[in-house]
Amino acid sequence: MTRGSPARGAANGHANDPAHGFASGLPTVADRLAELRAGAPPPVPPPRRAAPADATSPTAGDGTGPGRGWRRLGGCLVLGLLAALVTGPSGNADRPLDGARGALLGARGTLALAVALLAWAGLTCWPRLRGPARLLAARLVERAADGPAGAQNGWWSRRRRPRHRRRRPPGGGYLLALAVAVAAPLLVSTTARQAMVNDVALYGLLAVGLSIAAGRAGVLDLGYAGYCAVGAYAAAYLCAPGAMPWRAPVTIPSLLALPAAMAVTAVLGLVLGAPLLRRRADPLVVAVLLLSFGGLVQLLANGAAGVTGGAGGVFGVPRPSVRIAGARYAFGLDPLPYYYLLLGLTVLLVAGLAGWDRSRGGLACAAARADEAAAEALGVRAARTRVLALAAGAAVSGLVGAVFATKQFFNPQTFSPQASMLVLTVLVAGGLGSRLGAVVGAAVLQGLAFALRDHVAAGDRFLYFGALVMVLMAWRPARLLPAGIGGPARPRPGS
Amino acid sequence: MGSGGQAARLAVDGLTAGALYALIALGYTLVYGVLRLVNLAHGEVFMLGAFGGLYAVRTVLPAGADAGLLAGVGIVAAGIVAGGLAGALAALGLERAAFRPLRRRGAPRLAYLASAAGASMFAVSLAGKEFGRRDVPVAGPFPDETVLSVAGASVSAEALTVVLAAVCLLVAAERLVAASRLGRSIRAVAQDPECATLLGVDVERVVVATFVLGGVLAGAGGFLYAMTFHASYAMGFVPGIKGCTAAVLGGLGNVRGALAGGLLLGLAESFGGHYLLTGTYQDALAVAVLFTVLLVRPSGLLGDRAGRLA
Repeated sequence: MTRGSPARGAANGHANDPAHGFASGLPTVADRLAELRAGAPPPVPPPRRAAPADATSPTAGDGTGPGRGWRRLGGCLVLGLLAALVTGPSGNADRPLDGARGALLGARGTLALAVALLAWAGLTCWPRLRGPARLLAARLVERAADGPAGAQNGWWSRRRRPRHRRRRPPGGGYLLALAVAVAAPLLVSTTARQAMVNDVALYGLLAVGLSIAAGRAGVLDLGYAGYCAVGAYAAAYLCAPGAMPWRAPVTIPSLLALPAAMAVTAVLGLVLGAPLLRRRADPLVVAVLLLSFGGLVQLLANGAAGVTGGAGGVFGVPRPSVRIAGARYAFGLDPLPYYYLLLGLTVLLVAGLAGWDRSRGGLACAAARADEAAAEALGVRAARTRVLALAAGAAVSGLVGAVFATKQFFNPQTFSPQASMLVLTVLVAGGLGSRLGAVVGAAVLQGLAFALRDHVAAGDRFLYFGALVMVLMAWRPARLLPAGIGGPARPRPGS
Repeated sequence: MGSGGQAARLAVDGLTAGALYALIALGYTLVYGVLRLVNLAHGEVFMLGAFGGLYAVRTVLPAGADAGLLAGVGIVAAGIVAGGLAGALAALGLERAAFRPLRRRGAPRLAYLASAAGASMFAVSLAGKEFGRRDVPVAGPFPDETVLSVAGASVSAEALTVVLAAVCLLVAAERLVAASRLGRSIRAVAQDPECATLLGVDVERVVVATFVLGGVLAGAGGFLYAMTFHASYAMGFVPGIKGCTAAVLGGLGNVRGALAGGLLLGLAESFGGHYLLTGTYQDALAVAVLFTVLLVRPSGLLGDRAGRLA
């Protein structure tokens, strides 16, 4: 739960239903605020349930009786059931209960039940345990830090404070991340290298690109893979005369196709964004429209077999080759050069964004996101900023698509709406506010998926990703999505 | 081509599809009215409803058995009820999981979209895992024969059932929103949630009721859709987009607008798909229509509210 959420909620208008404060009664809110001021550690709520200390909802009636406990038990059981289903065996259409039966009977079901009951017991006893637990934690921290600072703020805020005090020179984290990124592929197997290129590096770059539109301008571009497809097909069209049924009059080298694809998708982003974002259409409707745009691109690529080759996909886009000072280097089957190419592009993009965020344009963008009317009054052209951000994000996506096209075979299925969702997942998991978040999110999520590839079927990955997005959104919505000025929206505790 | 029979056939097809779109669109428009949010996972409610109805029908009617007309109607009714129930449950769970925690924390509006997108991803994959990742045909209870001829177009019993059931549901929902006590509170919350609270409307309850109402309609629609085509774990995406298109077309937040938008979209697809485009691109038409409407009239055909809230 976000500290200082009342103020934030008020700024958000309708979405945070203002009625809540009225309905739950003043004492509850006051209690809650006092609790927040005291720096109560945000209890990590079970993903789909409200935090136990949260204000009671009006549906809960009085909310304090035994009914609340029972409902909580029900929630825990449902979550346990879902967990068992998710990790359990699959069923099929003719015998849909097979998967459920396999998941719920036997050890897995028992385990899920036990965990659910334990979680319920823990949540029910938490209010009684909280005081001693906090005291204990404070003691421990105090002993560990051996600091004179009082524990009245609770261990949560104390743990954070030293980080502010010891400010490392800026860029240290970046250098470390860069060193890890450079060294990592040298230490792993070829299979893992392939995954690092296709899953981590590509999605990391895509997520950084998406953060331009979604994180900076607040345009949730749910059709992000659509530009990627356009970029890939543009590259195939421009530099591989035989790859698609539709042939280009001229052929350009693969490396030149990258900026060309960027240009194409940037124009596409402008064409798409200018009419949409300049109107005062609801941003949610715009997001849905962009989602359907992504679906449309896939549909067209699939359907127009005479132009794109249809569902069969595109083979044989030539790999890029570089000629520097007489020496010629051609990209081959080895994934490593692609990894470093993508890494270089990511570094360039992140560095560029870091500069841009501090520039006039970046500040204007942040201002427009925080309060459009106020920003416009100060001379920021909010609509234009949004359109440009959308186009810039689209260009990055197109670039990734072109790189992908020169690397390997692709077909319309590669750029499905699910891919867009995955990019969003990666971005959200890393945090929309931070610059490196997208890359870290890609590394962590896809690394996990790679590590679990023997245990989790490829199709089931989206179960976990979907659940993760929901949990993250429910847990820290304001921190993960932009609400305030200047990147990470981080309300000060107790303010 | 161009004969009267052809046009009538297209009109019947368009109305069938349009009624289904309208069923989905109502869910979008109701939720938008109350919460000012687009429920991106609504297509998955539709999908889960289809599976609920499908398995109910399979339980009642073992594969291959032939039922009479009366029993057939009963079976379809059972499927609709089961589909509606499954849809309601799915919508309830969705509200609990993806919307309520965010509302409690005062999340920015885009967070709901991301959360619902995650829920959609979760539901699709779970359905794919449990029900298999391929199309599942639903054995309709009716033999495939013409029961009615409208202006030269033959209407199968199945199509007739779908249209009749969908129209009944739509009318019932419209009356519910327009005339009942619940509908009054839904409209009150849509107009001004703060004021509604002061007047004694339980906003939380209204939100839940809205989700459930939309879920019932979408679930029943999902079953009807599955009866006409097939059920599959991925069936929710395209109808979901189209339902949303229909809702935007008629003006988000406007119930009658959603009905009109759905029917209009169905007809446009049916005729446009025949006269303008080949079948493959029929789905593209919905996006084109959505684009055009947003460009010309951002608040939809009948809407006045969508543009107001910036």
